[in-house]
Amino acid sequence: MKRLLKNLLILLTILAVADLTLGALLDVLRDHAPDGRYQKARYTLEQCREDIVIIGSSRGESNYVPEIFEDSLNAPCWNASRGGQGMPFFRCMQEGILARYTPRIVILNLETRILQQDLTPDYEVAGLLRPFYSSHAEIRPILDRISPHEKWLLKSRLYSYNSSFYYLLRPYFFEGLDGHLSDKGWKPREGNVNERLVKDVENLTYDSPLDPEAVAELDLLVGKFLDRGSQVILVVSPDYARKVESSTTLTYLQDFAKKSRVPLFIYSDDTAMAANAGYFADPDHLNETGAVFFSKMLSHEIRQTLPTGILGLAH
Amino acid sequence: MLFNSIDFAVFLPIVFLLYWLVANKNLHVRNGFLLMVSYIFYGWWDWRFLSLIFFSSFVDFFVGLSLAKIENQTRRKLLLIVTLCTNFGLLGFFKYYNFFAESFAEAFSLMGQSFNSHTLNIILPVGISFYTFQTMSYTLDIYKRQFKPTRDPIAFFAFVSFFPQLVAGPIERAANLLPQFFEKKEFQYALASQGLKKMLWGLFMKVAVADRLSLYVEAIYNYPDLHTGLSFMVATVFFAFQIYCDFAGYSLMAIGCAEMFGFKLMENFRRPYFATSFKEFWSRWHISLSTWFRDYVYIPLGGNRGSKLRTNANLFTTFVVSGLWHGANWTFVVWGGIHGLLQISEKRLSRLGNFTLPRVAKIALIFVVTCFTWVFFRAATVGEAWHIVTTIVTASGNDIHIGDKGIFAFSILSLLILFTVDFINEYRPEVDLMNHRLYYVRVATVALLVLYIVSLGVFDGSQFIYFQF
Repeated sequence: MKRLLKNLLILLTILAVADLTLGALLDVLRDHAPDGRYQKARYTLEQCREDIVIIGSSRGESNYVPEIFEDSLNAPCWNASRGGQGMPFFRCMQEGILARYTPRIVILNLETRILQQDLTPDYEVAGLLRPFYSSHAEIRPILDRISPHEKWLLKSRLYSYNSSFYYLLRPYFFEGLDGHLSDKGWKPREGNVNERLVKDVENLTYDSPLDPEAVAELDLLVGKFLDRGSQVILVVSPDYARKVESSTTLTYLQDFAKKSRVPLFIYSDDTAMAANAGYFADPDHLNETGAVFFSKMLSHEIRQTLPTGILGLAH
Repeated sequence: MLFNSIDFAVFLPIVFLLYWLVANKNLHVRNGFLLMVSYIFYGWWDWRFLSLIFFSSFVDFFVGLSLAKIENQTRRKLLLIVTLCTNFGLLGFFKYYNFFAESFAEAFSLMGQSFNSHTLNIILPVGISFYTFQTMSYTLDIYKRQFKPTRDPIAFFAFVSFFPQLVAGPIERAANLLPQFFEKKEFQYALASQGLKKMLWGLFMKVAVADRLSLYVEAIYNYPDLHTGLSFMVATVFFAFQIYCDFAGYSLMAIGCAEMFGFKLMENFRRPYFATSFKEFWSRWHISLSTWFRDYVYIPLGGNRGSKLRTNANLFTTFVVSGLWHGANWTFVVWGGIHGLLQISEKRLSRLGNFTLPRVAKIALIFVVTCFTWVFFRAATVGEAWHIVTTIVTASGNDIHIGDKGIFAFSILSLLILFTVDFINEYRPEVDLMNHRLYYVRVATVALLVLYIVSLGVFDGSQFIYFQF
């Protein structure tokens, strides 16, 4: 028994040293990534100071062109969105930003059913931010909810990089695959909707019940920005060939926006956009042309809506 | 409790130390301790279902004693029927009630009659198929006078619920496992060390291979209408390794865990994808179940003692029943049936002449056909399976869905490591690095494996596939 315990102790010591060493090496790779998703998340959590911040998932990342918002609203803009993410990631971005400064305008891109879906898978994908767990106390309470044991697993530095290596190393070999630095967080998509998928606009209704946890997280997300004095703008992006006539989420958002006095722009019922295959890279995302058109249209509407005091805008 | 959970990582060392330092001083105390921790292990999932294991053990313990005492054949048969009805009744109710009720209603509707089936909201108790088969083998062996029953209820109850193999096997025979509960055990470093290494490799198979591959497989199989033949082909190959690593990984962890407590369980998987025939495949795949069906279904049906037709019918029936054991769905029945037909065809072909293919070609052929059968195992319905097979065979579409490139790349990497280790174990066992003669090589190998698991394992607490069977 003593021999077994002695050998286990030796092994544990080797593992602890390897964990710390490899963790430190990976920290260096994370901090020096020329671009890519880790560079982008680090920039949002640690460096960004832009007046306008866009937060969303893949639609947020592809549909909003920061340069257009900058030109139209006359203030620097950063797109902090990340594909495949949901409310937990948005909250992490918020905590990282608010820990350092208060943006003047926050544009939240929301999906038509975002408040009707269970958040469990969204917590799992927010695991992308595990490498920042030890250095960012403000996001820990959110990441701890990934699993009951996450807090303990994340004691390992190596575990915080679990499955991240491909995307961590890729920017060192291929530039701009997750968007170029000059695009300020925007990830343009090329091409058009596959010919097989070209069809007439379909009218849709999503009437499943709201998820209380998702609703609570949205309330917190918007509430925290408002409490700090940011102007929050809620936007629902358009989809190709899908006109969402109503959804429980949209109904809630409309009431919520009215109650919180937050502008809400819904484009998911915009038939003209939904019918234009030339604007879409796939049914869910605008292509570069569509994104430019959409950003111009939205920034113009925001400009019309916002009080003159914000950013010193003049109508 | 899952082997790949933090709960188990805390449970195991505590139980291990208490077992060797405290409980092992007395045989009855030790068995009582094993029984208690086994019930805690199982009850961690849902304590209510402990009553099923207790009831099943209770019935078989007393039926076993009575069967040994009674000479009257009619009364012995009656007792056997009692235990068969009890065990298969519980299994049938919890696992198959809804399946048969729905199938019955569908059969009526096919005949133009309407029949309202009443399905129930039943939770399938984890591992019920495994411990039911284990207790059944005990009683059947006593009935056949091949085994003498134990008079020690604690040892028997501990045998039925022995936590390393309680929920997903190997399905042990009483003749192998029960006597081990009466042996005095001394701590053996070599056995405990081997056990830990087996657990580690099993964990690698589960979290670094099976769970990694499942991410891709699910993305394809959950949307059968969206994907091309090439994507299905890749997903099916991935699934072949996913199910192998999921189940063989669990079995290896069970075997390793038992060894840490001084118990030896039977080998359950022996690198099945190196098989050169279907017969050999089944002597390498889920060995404890294959031999169970051979001894308690195929041979009692007559085995190969009758005509060729009868032998083939026995073989086919055994495989269909084996398919149904895997799950209450027609997909499993079809999967079992196809394997039965493959065995029959293989026998016929071998009688027709001696086909000499190179060994590599034979391995490849068996693997490809086995993959074809896995489509039926994995698909949600037979219709869906057929759609997938058609999509593959007609090579519909020419692009491949890679999905998340990281997941795909790590899946390939894990497969390469698995293949290398299986190849070494199959053909060059002397090169096995985990058991290398040099201490530093062994330590380095174990450390690298742990680091790989931490870095690239999937830790979403996913269930083992075979728990549902």
